[in-house]
Amino acid sequence: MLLLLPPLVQAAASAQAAATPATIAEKHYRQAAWAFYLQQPAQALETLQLAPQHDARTRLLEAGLYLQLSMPQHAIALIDTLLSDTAASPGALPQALKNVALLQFARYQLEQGNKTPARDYLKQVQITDDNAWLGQQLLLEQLINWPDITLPPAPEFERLRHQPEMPYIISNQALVLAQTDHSDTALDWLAQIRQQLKTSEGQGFWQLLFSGQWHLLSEPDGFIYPSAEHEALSDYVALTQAQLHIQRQEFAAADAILSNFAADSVLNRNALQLYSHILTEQRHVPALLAVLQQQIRLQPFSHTAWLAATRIGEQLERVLQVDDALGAYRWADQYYVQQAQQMQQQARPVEVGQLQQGLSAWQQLQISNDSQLFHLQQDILSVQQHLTAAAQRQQRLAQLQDVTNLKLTQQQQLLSSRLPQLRQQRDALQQQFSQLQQQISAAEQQPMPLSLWQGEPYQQLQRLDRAEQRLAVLQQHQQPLQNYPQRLNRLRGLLQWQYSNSAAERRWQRQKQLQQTAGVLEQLELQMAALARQGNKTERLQQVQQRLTQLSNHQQQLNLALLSKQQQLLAELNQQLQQRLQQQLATLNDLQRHNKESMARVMERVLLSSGTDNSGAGL
Amino acid sequence: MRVLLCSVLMWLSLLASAETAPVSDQLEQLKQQVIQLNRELFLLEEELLFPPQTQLAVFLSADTGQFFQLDSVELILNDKPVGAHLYTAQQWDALKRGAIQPLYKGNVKAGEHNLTAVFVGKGPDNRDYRRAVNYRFAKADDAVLLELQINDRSSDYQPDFVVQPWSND
Repeated sequence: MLLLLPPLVQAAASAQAAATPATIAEKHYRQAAWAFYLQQPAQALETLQLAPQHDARTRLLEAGLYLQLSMPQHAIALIDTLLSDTAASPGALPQALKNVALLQFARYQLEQGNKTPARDYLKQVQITDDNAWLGQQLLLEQLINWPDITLPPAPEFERLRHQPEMPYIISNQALVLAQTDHSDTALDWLAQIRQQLKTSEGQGFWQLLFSGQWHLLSEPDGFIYPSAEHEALSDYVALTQAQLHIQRQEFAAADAILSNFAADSVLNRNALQLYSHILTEQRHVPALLAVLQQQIRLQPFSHTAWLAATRIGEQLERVLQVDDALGAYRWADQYYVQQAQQMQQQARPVEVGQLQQGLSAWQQLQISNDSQLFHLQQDILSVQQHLTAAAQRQQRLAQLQDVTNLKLTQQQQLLSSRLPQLRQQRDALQQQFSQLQQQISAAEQQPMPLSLWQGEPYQQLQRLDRAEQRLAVLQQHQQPLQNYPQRLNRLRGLLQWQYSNSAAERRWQRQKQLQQTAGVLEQLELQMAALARQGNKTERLQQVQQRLTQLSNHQQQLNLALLSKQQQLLAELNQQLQQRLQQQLATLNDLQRHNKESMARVMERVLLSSGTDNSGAGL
Repeated sequence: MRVLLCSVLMWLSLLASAETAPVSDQLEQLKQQVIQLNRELFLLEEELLFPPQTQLAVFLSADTGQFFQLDSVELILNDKPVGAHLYTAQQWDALKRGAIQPLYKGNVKAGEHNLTAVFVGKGPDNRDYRRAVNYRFAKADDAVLLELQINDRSSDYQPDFVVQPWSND
């Protein structure tokens, strides 16, 4: 599954330079890449789905993530939409990326045993000029159509030079050639494959120092395998060669290959099986006994080991070592009883907590050898992950509910007391301001209004007004006025001149102050509006509160559903394990019966021979 | 009451689908529901905990990492440390491959702010390297999204640290 994603996510890196100006969608894509590289596919999918726009590349990555999360239906729906876009349509997927997806989906369908859709996906692959993914395509073609595969007249080493799948493709062709009575050619092809396998050799310090850039020219042309994979491939080809030699009854040649087979090879079990077959045919009993003992030791609970147990006695019987044979059969009998007991002990029902660590050796063996059991185990574990995450999700929901409640309380406080209070204050201020404006404009109509004066001239004018009032009182009481009226008129004239001289400046200052006050009031108005807007969020907050309650309920139901599904899957796993146990016990029983028969036969022979000896001695 | 009714209906629909569809499809449906639930939760978290009026989010990205290898980043907002991150080889590799790391998400008041990012790592010739970059920004009604970029400057073979604001389009 992982094969599909790295090329896609890699595309993000190359796209970053091209994305000018970088869009938010692109940023989402690269954030999804962050989660993907940290092996959090669910997080990556969530990030990707939050992007405002989705192009073909994003949807392809989404499909890959769905596949990684074991959600093939969603992945297939997405990929089918993408593939239906014609190459000419804007934003269509480049053929190279399409090929990656098609090959991966073909492989997925094949793994599920659906050969027809696998073939359909494979048909749509159009290999580009650089032959990228050609090896994958050919290998899948072979797997889908096996054994009816295309056979070229000669091995296509040149065409498949850069394809890591080359050894598998050509060895498969060799196997088909062998099946069609062309085993000579098949062996020749296999020998050629071993010569073609190249491995990367680490350069030493001095070599690096002096080679400079030129070392690139000395590198072998073609695909270079890491050393571990190289060994495994080499072993695989060797094993295939040995198998072909056995088919041709060339046991010495097969023996020559297998006797040099690496003991730590990943394929050593298969090698041991072939080797035991050759040794049986060649009647190399001591070596065969050693091989059979190895099989018993290395492959507990396996049919191979069980067969090996009885075969030890058979081989000894064959070379007429009847006493040893009897001993071996007795040992095999005990071994079968022991194996059956161990299996029954180890086949106790599995709990979810044991699935990752805590399975018995027998259970582990069954699960790793059977894809159906393995998928069941993976499904149960993925459900467990969701259930574990549910607690955290519930905590997040509770936190959001707290926040919503707090905000709603704040809103209610704002709406019920604070906002009306603030509105009242603002209205009072505005009223005072407009009254002041009116007063000023009314005063400005007068020739020299007292209210528009300030400082020393205000006091002088006030004193002049008082003096004029006192003069009027004197006039009413017919007191002598002397020259006061003239002096007061002169003073008023002087103040009038002063007033008119500075009137423009004072008016400007007044206007400025008024404007400033109006500005402050406007600001206040804006703040009030912002508060009012916040106040209007009550409805939205109530909706959120309701939604959170729904989500909380939904989460609980989902947990119940997940739990029930997990139990269902666990029951199925346990049932299938029990079925396998019964089948294996039956096989073991058959072998034990066969072993007992052999044991009885040998005992009979021992008794007969001892009887003959006794009668001979009697004579 | 309405909520309860909805829940019961949803539960019944779950049970109904559970009885008809194959187990793998049922499991996939459940997983899809979990994904939807997570997505909705994330959106609500954004709305309630980090509304645009106060949201500040900081991301980090890197070029090919030719002249700098990042060990850690510290974020200081208005002279107060708000976040730090130590990088594993896997995380640094992800950044070099083009990924963007969501580094920090928080809330700030409207007005002027100063963000300082301190980068610590290995510079050219594998020397210890420590560099701080400052960025002043004004917070208004829109969310502030900033990307710390570590670029390779080929003109003098040195790393370059840039703060790039994202547009809210």
